[in-house]
Amino acid sequence: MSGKHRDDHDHDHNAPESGPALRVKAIETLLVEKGLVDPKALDALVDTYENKVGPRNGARVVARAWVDPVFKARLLEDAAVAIEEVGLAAGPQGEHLTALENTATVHNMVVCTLCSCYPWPVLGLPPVWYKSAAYRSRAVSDPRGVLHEFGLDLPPGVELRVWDSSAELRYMVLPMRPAGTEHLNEEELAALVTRDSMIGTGVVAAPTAAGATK
Amino acid sequence: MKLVAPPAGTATAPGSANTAEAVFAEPWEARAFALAVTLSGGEHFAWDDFRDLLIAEIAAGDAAAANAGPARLPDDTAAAPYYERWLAALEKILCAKAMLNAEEIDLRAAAIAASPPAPTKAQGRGPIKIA
Repeated sequence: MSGKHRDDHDHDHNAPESGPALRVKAIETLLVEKGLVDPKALDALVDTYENKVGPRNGARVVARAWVDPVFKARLLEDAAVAIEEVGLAAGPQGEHLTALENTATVHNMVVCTLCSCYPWPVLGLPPVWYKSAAYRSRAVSDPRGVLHEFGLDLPPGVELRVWDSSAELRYMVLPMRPAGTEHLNEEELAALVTRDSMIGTGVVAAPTAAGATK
Repeated sequence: MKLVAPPAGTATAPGSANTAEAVFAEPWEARAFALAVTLSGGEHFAWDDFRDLLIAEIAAGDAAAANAGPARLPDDTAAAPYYERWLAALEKILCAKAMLNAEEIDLRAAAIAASPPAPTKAQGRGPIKIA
């Protein structure tokens, strides 16, 4: 942000709002008056990303892939199309979704080195750390160190692949199904899947560990 | 440099794909987000136009942070700079596409800052509950 004259102001003179909040309000009211934006559309969008779209969506995709090999094949072939089968729409930031399968020998991890590209339809909006300079740079320079800080130490024999998201390509990781989950149904499996496991900074824990925490 | 320090049991709570993290730290972040996404789906500019400006703002912010000394820990305080960069990119594209100009934004912001807060529902009415 620029504008030296603004910095000369005291932002705390009992103004109803100040700083970026004031700036955004000014922009929104002007755009509404010009008929360029509908405040109801803004409300609906905020509600969608605060309450409706989130990692639970991706968890349903993962669970379906675990129980249905044919779906899994379609997911790996074209994730943007396959997610429609679990009632999701590719929508914004999901048009070119690609699913990356973790195996016993390959672990995938996703980053956006330039900004914050992320597969919104399946994971919602990215966590703070995903947008941080540290993650954006160190996921590339020291990915195993990053995973260690997330509490994940990959065996040396596992190949770690780091994928850089872009406007054209969004990735989600298809984590490995934990052992001991053969008796679980799709819904129960979905409850095990964490957000971080679909970014690749975590793995899905076996149900005993999950059940113990809550 | 420690990369992430999510409070235990929130960011990666086993058993849930949801998290305790708020999507937006402040309401204005949500409005700025929604403005860019809504407008980029319309006739005025494409998402990629906005994204290019966002990338430039983030790169400038990274460079400024690097010059300022040791990298900040990416804890919750990192959230505000991200959406401030987002907001800067939004202002730039709105001005570049002649949808708004910086002067009218300045004027409007000053007018809002100078005006008294609008009365809320609770003000000017009686108690909302007597028990």
